[in-house]
Amino acid sequence: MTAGSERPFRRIVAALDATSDSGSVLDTAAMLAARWRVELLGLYLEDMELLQLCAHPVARQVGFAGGPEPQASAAQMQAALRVMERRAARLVQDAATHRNVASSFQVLRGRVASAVAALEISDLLVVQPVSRPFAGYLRVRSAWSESTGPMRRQPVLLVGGRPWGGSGVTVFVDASIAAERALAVAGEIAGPGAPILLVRAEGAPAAEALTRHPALAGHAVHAIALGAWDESRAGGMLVVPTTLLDAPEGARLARTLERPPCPVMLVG
Amino acid sequence: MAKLQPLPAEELYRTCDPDSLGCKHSGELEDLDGVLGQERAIRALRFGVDIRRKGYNLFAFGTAGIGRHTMVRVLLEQSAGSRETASDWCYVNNFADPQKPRALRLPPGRATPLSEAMQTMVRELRATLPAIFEGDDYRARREVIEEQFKQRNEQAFGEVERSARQQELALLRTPLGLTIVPTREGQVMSSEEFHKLPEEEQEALKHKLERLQRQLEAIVRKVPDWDRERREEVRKLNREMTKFAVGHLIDELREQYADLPDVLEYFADVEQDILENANDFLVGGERPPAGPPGRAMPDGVSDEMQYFRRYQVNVMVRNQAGSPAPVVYEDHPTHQNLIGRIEHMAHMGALVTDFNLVKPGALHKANGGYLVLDAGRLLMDGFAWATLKRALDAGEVRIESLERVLSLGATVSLEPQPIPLDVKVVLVGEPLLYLLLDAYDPDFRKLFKVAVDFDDRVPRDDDTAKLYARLIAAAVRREGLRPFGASAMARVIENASRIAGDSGKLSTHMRRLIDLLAESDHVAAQAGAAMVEEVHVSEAIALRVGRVDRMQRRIQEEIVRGAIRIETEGGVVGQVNGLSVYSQGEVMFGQPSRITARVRLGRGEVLDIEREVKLGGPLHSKGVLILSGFLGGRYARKQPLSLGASIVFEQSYGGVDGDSASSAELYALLSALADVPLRQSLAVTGSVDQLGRVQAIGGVNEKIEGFFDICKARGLTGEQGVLIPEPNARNLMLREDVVQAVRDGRFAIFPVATIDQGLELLTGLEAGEVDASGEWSSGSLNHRVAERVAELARAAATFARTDGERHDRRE
Repeated sequence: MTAGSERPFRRIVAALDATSDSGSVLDTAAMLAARWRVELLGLYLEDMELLQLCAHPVARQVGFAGGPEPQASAAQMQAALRVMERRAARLVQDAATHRNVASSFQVLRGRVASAVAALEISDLLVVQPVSRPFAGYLRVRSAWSESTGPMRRQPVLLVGGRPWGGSGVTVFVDASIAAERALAVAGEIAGPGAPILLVRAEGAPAAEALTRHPALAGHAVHAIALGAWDESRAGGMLVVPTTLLDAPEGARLARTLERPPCPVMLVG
Repeated sequence: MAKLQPLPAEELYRTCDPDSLGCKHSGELEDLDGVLGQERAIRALRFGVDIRRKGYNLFAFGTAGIGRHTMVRVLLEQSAGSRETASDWCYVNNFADPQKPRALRLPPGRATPLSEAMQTMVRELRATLPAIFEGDDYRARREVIEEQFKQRNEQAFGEVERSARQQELALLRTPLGLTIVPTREGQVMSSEEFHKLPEEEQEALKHKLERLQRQLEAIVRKVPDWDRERREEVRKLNREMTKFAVGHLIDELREQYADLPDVLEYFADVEQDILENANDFLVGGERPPAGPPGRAMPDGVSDEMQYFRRYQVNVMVRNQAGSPAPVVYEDHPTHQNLIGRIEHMAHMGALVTDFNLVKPGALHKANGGYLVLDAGRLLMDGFAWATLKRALDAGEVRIESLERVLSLGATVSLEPQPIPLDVKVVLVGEPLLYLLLDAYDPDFRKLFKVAVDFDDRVPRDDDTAKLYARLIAAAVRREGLRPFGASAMARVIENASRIAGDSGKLSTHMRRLIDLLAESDHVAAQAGAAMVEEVHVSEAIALRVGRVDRMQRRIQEEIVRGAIRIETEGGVVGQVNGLSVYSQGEVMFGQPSRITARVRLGRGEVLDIEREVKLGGPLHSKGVLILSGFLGGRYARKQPLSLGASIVFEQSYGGVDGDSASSAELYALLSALADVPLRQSLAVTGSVDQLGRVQAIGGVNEKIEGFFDICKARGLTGEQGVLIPEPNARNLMLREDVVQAVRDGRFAIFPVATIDQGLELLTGLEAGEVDASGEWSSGSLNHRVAERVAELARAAATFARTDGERHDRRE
């Protein structure tokens, strides 16, 4: 990725599976694909773990009606996965048509790690880290939530909470190289002339220097310290270097990202 | 017997003196206030109108064209002013059951304001409610509710998640729900790992899973209840905010209609419905799809508007305070036009309706007043009569489509609440319809108790002539015609007597009167006259006759040429000129017919040849049979009537009916019996009874004129004339040329009371007197007849004896 380039990503990859909310992932992914005029790839993960659960000796299933239900058979689960797959393919097509972008659809069988490994460094992976709500409210970690873990190589955009309107960016900065990339991405994403909030962690360059960073040229930049930031200030899109999440002072931010209040771009 | 004298010319036509009308022209006369004559009908009408009891509806009957409708309407409008103004009626939505719209009765003049007020209220709510719901107060309170419930759920599920983590269990979302599995070091424990555990640990793990499963299931089951509670809280909030906006608007309406409990009840329903459906007033609110059953709306109306139709007021009947009761004439009385209809409109490919599409019928419009219907048109419609009876019997108007009545359609429709009916129905029709309904419809007497019998003529005297002149004057003004001079009005009055067929009567046939006035006006216009005079009226009458007398002319031509044999001079045994009439539209013509009779030995029967060939009607046959009675009673008291006779209308190729030729037939028969010729210069009309008395007939003027025209064409000799029944003398209103011929002694009209009088005129012989022993004076005509009858009896006896002897010899 090159700061200031017209196409910071080669493809926008919408991470899809049978348990997350494909609609919101695709909305954001298609919007970004349209912004940078790049391909939209729908990557559907057929999670093998779900099939293994069917044969698990003590797994307990709770149905939508809240009554005790026998554990689903592998055949039932496979049929459900196929249905969700077809639905996801259709949604990708619809989103691409709506945004007038090129699209493709792939199915990967296995674990998230293998799916992520198959991506290019220049792909932006758009992920919903939590599942569709169960019984209207209960959201658990989605299969793709693992992609935010240590094995990630390329940027990941976490979708959740308020949808992104297309402008307004908060970028977190520490002393790492990843922070440099985060600044570049933030400049690309914010849109011409849009304001950018800089959140400085311990060891980050001085605020004055940061506001003059070439990637932020043309933007109204306001800088605050990480200690002054809280979730209530989360708006637009957060751009976060992954190094910060591993640091002790980023623990609070990491917890916030378990249930992202707004889209969050993780930059390695 | 004294010789019968002909009628003087003065008795053949009753003139009307223009001076007796008291004016120079129609412009000086006031309109006739009310109607001419018809006292009996008017009494009946007033009785029927005044009596306020169920079933006292009216049937007004009389000849078409005499102005029945006009008279009924005039009288009803007079009566309507003294009745209370009829109520207004509306249909409004039945919020509990939209399929059954609710009827609202309001004092006159208050339905339209109610409708407008409801529209205004909806407009105001559409402006104020969105503002309220978009305001910060509402949003804040709504968010509090949502947040409370969100927290409640998150707390419940959060506890489950924490509990799961603590027990090294994981909750995994699957397409089919949620699965709880054991974990080890953050990863799902595989089956192999599980089986490697000691049995006690496996059991303990199973129990942990089951406990968590039960805990989760309990929460899942509660979620719908919590959600319902949330929606209820939101609904309560919406109601509270809506009530704030609606309350004062409804209260204003309540004040205006505080005297009408039904309307107040309706307002309560409206308020309740708005409170329940406040979302409909919000742009983009959570509305159900447009067009559900019972709330389906027509195309062309936006969804926005459709949702508010249920608050509209469908004004079915609107009256004005203080106005007279309605008098409605329904020109086309069909089922739908009487009781109203429910219209449907296409919406999304289906036919839909609502209470706004309920349309009133004539019964609605006339409710509280009078409804006038033409009986003939009413009965022409296959269902209208039954519908009207049902409404009158039930005392309510129930709007039902024909498809529903006949169980034909399966379309979902409405059942509007029936409206109580308080109407006086006046049917106007022909007398025949009245008689048929009375005879064959058992409901008729129950529902139409008042008969209003219109006469088609009124007595003619100086007073009625003056009233008739005012009637003419009113019609002239109404029709925008030239003024009629007094002489013209007098001529019209004389013509009214001619139409009535009686010099002592005036026809009340209004349509014919107005036609004559209009045609006379036209003639005057063509003549460049500013005022219609007698000559114009006479010409109009002549033109009218001339337009339809082609057949009459043709027959007269054929008679004069001899193709149709009618003799007007000399004498012929067993032959007489009878007279008949036929009509061409409203104009009648008379024509002579040659009637002949032949006599032979027989058994007393008079053969009606017309009947034998089925050209004679029953009344004609009756007249012929009466002749046998006359002959037997007068000439065969002591002996059998041993004659056989045949009578025929010569050169008659159409049907013959009526008994007006029976006297002529008797003259021909007696002539044949007596072998005495009858004068062919005379024609005869009149029926006869078994005692030989000549009885009145119809169309006497036309019959006389028909024979006169033939004689005139051949040349009047002074011997020619017509024998008419004496009672018909008062009917005479003959044409001027006939009257003039009589005045000049070139034609004569004889009023005959008995057959004997007629016989003397026709034969020139004395009829004779019968003595105490039953013998007729010698040489008289009756004596000759009696002798011939006796001779035939003897011949019959001789024949019977000889025939009997022959029969005995054969045996």
